[in-house]
Amino acid sequence: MGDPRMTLQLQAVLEVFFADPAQARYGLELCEATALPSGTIYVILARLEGCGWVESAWEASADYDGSGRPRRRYYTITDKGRAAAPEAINRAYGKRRRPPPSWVPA
Amino acid sequence: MNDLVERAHAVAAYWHRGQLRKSGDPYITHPVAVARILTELGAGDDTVLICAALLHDVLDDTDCPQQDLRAEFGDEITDLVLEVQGFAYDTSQPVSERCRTLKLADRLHNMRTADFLPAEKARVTARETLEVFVPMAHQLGLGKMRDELDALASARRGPGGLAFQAVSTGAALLPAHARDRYVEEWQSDLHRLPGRRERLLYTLQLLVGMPRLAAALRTPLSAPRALTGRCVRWLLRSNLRTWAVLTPPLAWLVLDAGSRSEALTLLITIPPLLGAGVEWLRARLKR
Repeated sequence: MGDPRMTLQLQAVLEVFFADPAQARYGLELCEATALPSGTIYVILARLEGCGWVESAWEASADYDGSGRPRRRYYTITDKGRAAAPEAINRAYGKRRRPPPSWVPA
Repeated sequence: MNDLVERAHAVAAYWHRGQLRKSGDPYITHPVAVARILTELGAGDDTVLICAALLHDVLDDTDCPQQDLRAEFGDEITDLVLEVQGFAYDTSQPVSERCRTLKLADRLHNMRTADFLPAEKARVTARETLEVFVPMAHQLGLGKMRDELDALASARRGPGGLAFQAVSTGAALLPAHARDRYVEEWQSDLHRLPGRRERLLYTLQLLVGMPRLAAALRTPLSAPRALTGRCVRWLLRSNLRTWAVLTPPLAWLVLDAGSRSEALTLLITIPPLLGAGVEWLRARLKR
């Protein structure tokens, strides 16, 4: 399975994950952090999850109170994603002979 | 198995004979499932509770005379059945722990099989579950049951009317295995959004992205595109061909809807959604 297309939106999502790779994020949180519409975020998350760069799990039952809020699904970047994403971005920018964004690890 | 329990099962099966659950199963499967839930909770030795569980619907839903029950199973079981039957959620009259445990098991099985209820009824039941039964399970120290009830009910209640309906309806485009997961995930997002406007915007954006999400979930990445691609291009070139393919499943969805309001929601939401998907695909394939 190949890499996903390195669109700017996909890069924006990756940037949030790379800001703190240990931090798990939920969909709405990523919408707000990237200012991207919900419909786009979930497509990107599905692609990232499909290629194994990101994994997701329901929040532990202890973390959601009895207030009736449905469970959140939290996404975390995988080791594979941490290794493959910078490579893919550098490759994409290299083809266009432009420097990659500054947040991308060398 | 205890003789009395066996008798209770036989009597319940006799009176519920010919009755069916919404799922199409024989009705007796429900009291049996409730008794099994109680057994799994560790109440298997409480003969009174298990018998009452097996018999809990015979007085309400069948012609079984109360004195027959009393003659055969005694006052304790019969009174418990009556207590369960008369249980009202909103009064503060004291309710025995047995009655509450039985009601919880009853509700748990009903929620597990709530897929067979009409959507609106399922939603009302879900709200009631969250308001009454989840706290009750918590009070009784039944943590596992509380969590299961909470998860089952939360997935069905939705934060507020239109946004919830639209999201669950739109999710019909997703592959079946992913549907419940995304609906729950989005509801949790919707729940956090403060205002109607925000919820509406969030929902519209989701609906616009739905065909793309469905595509992303079906073909994770570079699936063989050559032949499928050519077929899709050919189909999309004409509106007639496109809708000839899309209309039958849409008609099927609408006809299959549980209620008239659900059918209406489907008719209102799906065609523009598909339209947006088609436009997007055309634009994308031109590139």
